[in-house]
Amino acid sequence: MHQPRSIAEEDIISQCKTGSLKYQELLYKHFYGYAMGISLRYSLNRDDAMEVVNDAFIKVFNAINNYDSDKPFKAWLRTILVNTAIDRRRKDIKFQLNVDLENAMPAISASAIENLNVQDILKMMKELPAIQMTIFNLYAIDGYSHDEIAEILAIPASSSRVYLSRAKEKLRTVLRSETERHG
Amino acid sequence: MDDQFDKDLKNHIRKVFEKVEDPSADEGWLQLRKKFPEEEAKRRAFAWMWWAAAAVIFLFLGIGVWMYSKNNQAQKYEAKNEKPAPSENLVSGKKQDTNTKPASVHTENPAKTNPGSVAAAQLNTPKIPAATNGNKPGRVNPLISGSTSGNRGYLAKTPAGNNKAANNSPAQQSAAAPNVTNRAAVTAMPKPNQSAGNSPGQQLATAPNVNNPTPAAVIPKTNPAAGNSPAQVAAAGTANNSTHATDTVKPKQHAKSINDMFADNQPVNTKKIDGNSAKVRLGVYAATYFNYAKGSSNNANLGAGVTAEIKIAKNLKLVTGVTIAQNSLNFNTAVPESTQSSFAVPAASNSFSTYSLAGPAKANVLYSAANVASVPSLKNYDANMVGLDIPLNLKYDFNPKKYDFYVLAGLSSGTFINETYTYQYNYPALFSPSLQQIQDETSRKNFDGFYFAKTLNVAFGVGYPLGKNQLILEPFLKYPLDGLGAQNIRFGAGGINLKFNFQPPKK
Repeated sequence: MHQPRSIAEEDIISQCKTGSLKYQELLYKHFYGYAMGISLRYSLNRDDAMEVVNDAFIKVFNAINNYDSDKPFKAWLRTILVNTAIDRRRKDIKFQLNVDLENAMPAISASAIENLNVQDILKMMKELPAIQMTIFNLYAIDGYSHDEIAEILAIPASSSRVYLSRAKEKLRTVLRSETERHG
Repeated sequence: MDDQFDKDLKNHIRKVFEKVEDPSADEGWLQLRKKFPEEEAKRRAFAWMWWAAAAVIFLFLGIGVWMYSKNNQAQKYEAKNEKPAPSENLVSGKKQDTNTKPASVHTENPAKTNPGSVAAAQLNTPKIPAATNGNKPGRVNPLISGSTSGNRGYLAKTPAGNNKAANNSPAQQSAAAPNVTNRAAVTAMPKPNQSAGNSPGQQLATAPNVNNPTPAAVIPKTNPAAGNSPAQVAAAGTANNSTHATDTVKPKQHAKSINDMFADNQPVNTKKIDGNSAKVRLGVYAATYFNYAKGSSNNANLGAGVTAEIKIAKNLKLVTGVTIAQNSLNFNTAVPESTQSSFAVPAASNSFSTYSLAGPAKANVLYSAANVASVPSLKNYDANMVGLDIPLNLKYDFNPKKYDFYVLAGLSSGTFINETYTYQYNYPALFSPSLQQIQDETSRKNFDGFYFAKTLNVAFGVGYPLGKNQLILEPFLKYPLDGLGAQNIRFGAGGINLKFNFQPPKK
């Protein structure tokens, strides 16, 4: 079940179905922050994230007549964004499939989590190999199952579990080291 | 502990990224607008072309079906008006055989046959009274054998039974001879149960002793028809085979000779031949094809045109016409060699270095590594050309009278109505890849020269008749013999034509 949207949002979507550029712009700007929040986690940098957002919105505008208005628009947009971002980075992801984690890890400081902002989190994530970052985002943040991830990335589900585990371990390590550095 | 940490981290990330405050929405929208309307316009144009092609195809099909049904109606009308005619054609027609068949079946069981009815059919024929009266049992009538022999010639389909009759002794020839095998006479039997005044001799013709093992024979031997010409004999036989006892042969039929009858059939055949051998046939067609060139992705395109086929020999035609066709090429990885020089000019004007592909080798050496890093690189190169193609092909029909299967080869000339070339350059920044700039350069030309015989056409086709017209499927290949267009790009096309050839109206 999804929360009912505001009327304005529904209006925007229905106007977008008519192909109105004005409403497409409204929709774009209305969901831009949300889209960037997803896109940034899967992308190398802000420009890359913006291109993902734009490509995803082009897909949205082209397919908006197929959108089922009984379902939450955000979920639909999220799916398109994630798929677009992964498609864009698929090459990187495949290339780095065999990159392994370095061992090492200083001590942890969980209290530091609350102080992390967008930039901090992105910085942490960039420490991860592409495959681990993608799987962490898909599973931990966007709620995909390992089976779904296996299908999307064309890898075994067991590999997805392994990469997730390594990603979490790496993030802990990075956070610990950052905490130590900043006291 | 780790689990708790992971959970906290996950929740925090979700919360932070639920909506990122990013002031770049306007900038993002402007960037999207660079792609989005353009792509949509292309998509719509492409969709429009598909719809147009579909409409053209349906139009042709509609015209074809309409003309086909119109022809059918005309033929039915003609058939109605010529209703009596079939009896004339029965001489060599299948109808005759089918009529004969029942008679033959009856002769296989002589005991069941009504002898009277058999002879009656012969008697009912007004053409042959002399014969029936003239033939007496046991009497030899030389004319009978003569006429029967004569039948052999033109009744080519007549099986052995007839020949046997012809070779029989005069006594056997006589229908009246009892205990004699007279296949010819028996096979001429019409339907049973026909009654008429039978002379004894005639009744004897089908006496129970008659042995007729071969039900094959047809009309001929209407034995009594002594003195009649073969044509008359045949006509009489046909009349006898009629299912109606009261049928009489029309006087008109008597007057016709075999040649006349064949002559009657000729116009129909001639008509068909005329239809297929028209000197000029016009046609319209829609083409769906893929453009190909070295280094380019294969793009689907559409075209349409008109053709004219001029007959120059029995199987050979000259095919020409004019086609309007779109050609699009997309070079993502390599620039066609012919266009590198034109590509270098804008690149050089926008940077400090000369593009390495086009410039002299020394030019590259002169620049430092830093300069090289800022050299623009080609990201994409698109060519879009709407052309007028004028083919001149020779078409060889394998068997134009029976079916339409042909091969075709020739050369194309033409011009381009509109040419659009788009170059997309990437200007990398020295120290930050994120500061890359992408620039588009577009050049357009209209009717930039005429190319002559620069494309080789090869095709084959299969035609399906639609009345007097034809629907043709024609797979084709256009092979470039030289570069085309303002950028001299060597490209070809391969696809399929859906062609509708129609007969020009008669004057």
